[in-house]
Amino acid sequence: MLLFAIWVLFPLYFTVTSSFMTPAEVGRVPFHWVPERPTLANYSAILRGDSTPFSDDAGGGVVASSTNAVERLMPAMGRSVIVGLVVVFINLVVGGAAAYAFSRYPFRGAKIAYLGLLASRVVPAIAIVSPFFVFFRKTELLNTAPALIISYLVFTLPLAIWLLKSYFDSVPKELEEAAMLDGASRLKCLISIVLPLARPGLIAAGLLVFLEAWSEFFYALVLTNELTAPPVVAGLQNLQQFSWTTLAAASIFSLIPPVLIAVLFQRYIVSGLARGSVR
Amino acid sequence: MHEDRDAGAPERGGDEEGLKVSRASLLRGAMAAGVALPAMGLLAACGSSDDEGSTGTSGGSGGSGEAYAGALAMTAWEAYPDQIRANLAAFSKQYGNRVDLTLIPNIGYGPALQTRLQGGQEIDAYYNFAYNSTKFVDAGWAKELNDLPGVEEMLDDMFETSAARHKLPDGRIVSVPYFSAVHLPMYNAAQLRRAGFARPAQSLSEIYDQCEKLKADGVRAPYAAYWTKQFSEEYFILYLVAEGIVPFDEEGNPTFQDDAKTEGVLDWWTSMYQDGLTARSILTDDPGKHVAAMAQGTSTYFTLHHYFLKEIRNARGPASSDVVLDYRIPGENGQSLQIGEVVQLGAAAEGGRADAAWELLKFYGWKDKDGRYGTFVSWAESAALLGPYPGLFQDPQFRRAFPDYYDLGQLERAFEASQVVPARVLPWYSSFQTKVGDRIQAMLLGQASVKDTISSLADDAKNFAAAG
Amino acid sequence: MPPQADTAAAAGRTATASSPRPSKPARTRAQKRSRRAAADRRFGLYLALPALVVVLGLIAWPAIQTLIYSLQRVALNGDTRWVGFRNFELLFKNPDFIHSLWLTAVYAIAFLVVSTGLGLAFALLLNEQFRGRFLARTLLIVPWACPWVIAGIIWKWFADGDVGALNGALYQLGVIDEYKAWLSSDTGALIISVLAAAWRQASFAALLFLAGLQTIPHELPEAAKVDGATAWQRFRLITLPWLKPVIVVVIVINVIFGFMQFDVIYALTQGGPGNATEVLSIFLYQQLFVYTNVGMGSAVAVVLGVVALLIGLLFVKLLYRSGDVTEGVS
Repeated sequence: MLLFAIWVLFPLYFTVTSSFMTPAEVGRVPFHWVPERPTLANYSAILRGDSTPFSDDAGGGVVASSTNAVERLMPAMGRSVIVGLVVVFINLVVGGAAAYAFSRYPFRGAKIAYLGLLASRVVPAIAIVSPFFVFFRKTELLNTAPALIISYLVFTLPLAIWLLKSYFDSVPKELEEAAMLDGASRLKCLISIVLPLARPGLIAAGLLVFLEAWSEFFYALVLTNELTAPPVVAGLQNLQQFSWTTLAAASIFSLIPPVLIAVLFQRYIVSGLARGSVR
Repeated sequence: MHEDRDAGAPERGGDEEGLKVSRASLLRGAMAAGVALPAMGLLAACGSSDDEGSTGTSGGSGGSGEAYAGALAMTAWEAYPDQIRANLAAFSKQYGNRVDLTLIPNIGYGPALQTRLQGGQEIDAYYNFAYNSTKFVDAGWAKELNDLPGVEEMLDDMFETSAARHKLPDGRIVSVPYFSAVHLPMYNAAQLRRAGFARPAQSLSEIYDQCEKLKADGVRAPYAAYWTKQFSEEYFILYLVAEGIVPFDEEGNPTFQDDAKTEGVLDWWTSMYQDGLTARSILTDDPGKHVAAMAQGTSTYFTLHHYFLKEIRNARGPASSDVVLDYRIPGENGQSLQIGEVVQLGAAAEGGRADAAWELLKFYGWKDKDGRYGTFVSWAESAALLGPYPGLFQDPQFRRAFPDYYDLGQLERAFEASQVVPARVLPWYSSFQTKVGDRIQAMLLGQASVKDTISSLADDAKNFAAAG
Repeated sequence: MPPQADTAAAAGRTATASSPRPSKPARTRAQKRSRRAAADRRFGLYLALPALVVVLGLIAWPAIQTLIYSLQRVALNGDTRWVGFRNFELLFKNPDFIHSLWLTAVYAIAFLVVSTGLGLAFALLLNEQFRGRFLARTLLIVPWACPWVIAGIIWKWFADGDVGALNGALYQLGVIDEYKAWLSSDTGALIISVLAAAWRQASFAALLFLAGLQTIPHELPEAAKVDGATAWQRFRLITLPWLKPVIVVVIVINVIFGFMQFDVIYALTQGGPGNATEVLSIFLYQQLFVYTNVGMGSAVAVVLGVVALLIGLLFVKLLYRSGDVTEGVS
């Protein structure tokens, strides 16, 4: 329990406290576990679009911020959510169908196709960003959500299929066979019997896919100008000013949507699965 | 968001062969993926949110000599984006061409730019790191600027040393300046006084001695510098140059290994780290941390580009106002290393569009239509950056941009006397740079001796240069 | 990728004959059955086709191109020249590459062990009834919701030599007597980069295990308890076998993520100090974007892919001694 608390909470707690501190305070030795004078400056800076709340820009005549990263954060998060949700939706429909096929209706060459899917995950993503870029340039999809959606589908579908197949395998076949004897079609079996039972699996796979899509950094950087959350937050990193406290606030900020979604759905995974498996 | 113009622009020949195959096969894949694509089509609309009025582009390039009134595409890393936009707006006002700006965060600029250019994206003008500039010309991603109207005048207008960053020994002109800076030591004068030192250190051994005393007096990490993997090379060259060592000959062959003083420099470097006169974490610390350390008074010396003084002052720490610049790098001849990044002309545009792009480069990297160094003044105002033109230092607005903790006369002299080290823009240099990071850090960590490090680095440079 | 063919063949050899489908053969209706089986196969193909087309259709050409490039010298302007296995030869003669290869193996295995092990432990813990369980489960998710890059950045500062809470805590506990620059030491940087990545991934593993644990019928452990089985015996004889399918999924995903990990290390150390954390993905990045040697970079990509695939399959085989990955697909 203690290990769990330390492992999960410690880095997180550090990020949260830092986000309420000034750069001067976070540098104190020994470390201040509770901010002496908690400040909201980091958060309000993000809302204002100011990347260096603890620095004067009074030197010259022009007040200019060295980065627009904070201004870009909100729209980038919005794009991340949209891209993530679409990727999840397509994954569940397309990947779910494939996983079900692999589990129940193995076709000729299914094994090779299945292994091919898994093997596609060991192609290093960085090595193939160039052909992807050319493909999207020629299809005029650069800088669009579909470019990211298609790329992320390629990388997440194998994971989703892999995970979903294991869930479908755990749903007893007898139910479908009984339904089929009663004259139900294959599709009807899938929709009315298997899907409800596999719902926790679908949600787990959906969550995995969403968080992987949410997490992706390099393709977003190369394929789009408008960017998603990770490159924008990371863009705050290499500033000339000490920026960790603001960065911490931005990180916390960017965690809100995925955590909300994850928390919303984790109950279904955990409790739903228990219900589903009562045979 | 300017791909709409790609269709009308001339196709690039030569290297497209392999790409066409990929296009065909990939396209077929996508066609078959009909299930997924309609959903995406719907999303295309909400994904591309910023087509801020990109209508009215004339599409395609006019014939040579014909004035091009369409938009230009520029790619920049994200440094003072509002100022970039203001500068581009000024350009549009004077020349009529709108400029579509693409900003890429610093963290992935290199790979993102390279992938885009390699993938055939048309960019008329882009920021680049000086060490990549020749390589990009060789790769066909940037144009040589020789014979373009005004380019020789531009070079003549520069400090003589600075021109070597843009014009190679073989006479090719590869880039125009974006900004320049000079490495200088910033130091906490009050701390030095308290420790009994009347002036900042003027030699490497003096730095060591002063820092030892400062450490004993309780300064946590007396010496600060940006000794990360990526920046080790800059310091390597800086320390050599300040000691009067010639790192490379005119052809770009390494010569540092033949100078007996090189060993002394690296010995000093190693002991500074191993004897704890720097923060232990200096190998991974970002400049922002050093700025904070100077502002808080936990470091006394910070050697990096001169403009960081402004960051230290702006950080409003208790020690911020004690920090001043020395205009001489400690070492036998005290010369500094001048750095600067560049703007390059994209290779794709032809005819009138290429002419307009060149006007943009001249505007951005030299003077505006009124003969003012407009963009350089703007960088000075936002970040105390310099430009390589003596005339710029006479501009009253430029001079006003520097707060009074800068002695502009001394800064100009230090800048003028600083070395560019022309080898640093050769096509193989970025490879060498990465190696220096590995080797210097290994040396600092005690995994390689100074002697071995020097000879390996010389071998690296020779090998990379030979490979081209 | 050529590995596909290899693995397919390999898996073919290890495949079990047992097909999960028709459970009782009905000889009398043999014809009808075979017609139905054919229709089943078609149905399966239709279901799987879109996914196959998207993934394999889009990845096939880039993968093949990578393979081709690995046998070529690729000039920056796109000119290519066949050089046979020269790139691989040079790679395996390059001590930096060999170092990187070993480092990758160490990194991936350490990542696998830490993230899977902790994930399992957390899942067992959170499967118990206790006050605040919901809160604990919610917190568990947060690291997983951190993008890799941001996990890297958080740990960079967390382990920082001056402001980091890691130092702060160890210092106050008296474990260390001065702040340590973890990321500036070889082993320190390696350990932190494993922990940072595992921090995110342990939560993923825990959540999947937790879901798996929930499916264990309550009667089983309780009956075992009545029979006098110790907690360890119950874990080994009931929990583990029950979780096996999930464990395989998690392990394979973690193996892949371990070998392919780039974002975290890039954000934390960029392969440093020196080349102490220069795993193959960083090495690959440098070949492609610093040395701009596409041929060599592709060769590195091929090696990385093949190694990850082989290790992944090895685990699958070890775990499924009686079956294989494609259990259920035959």
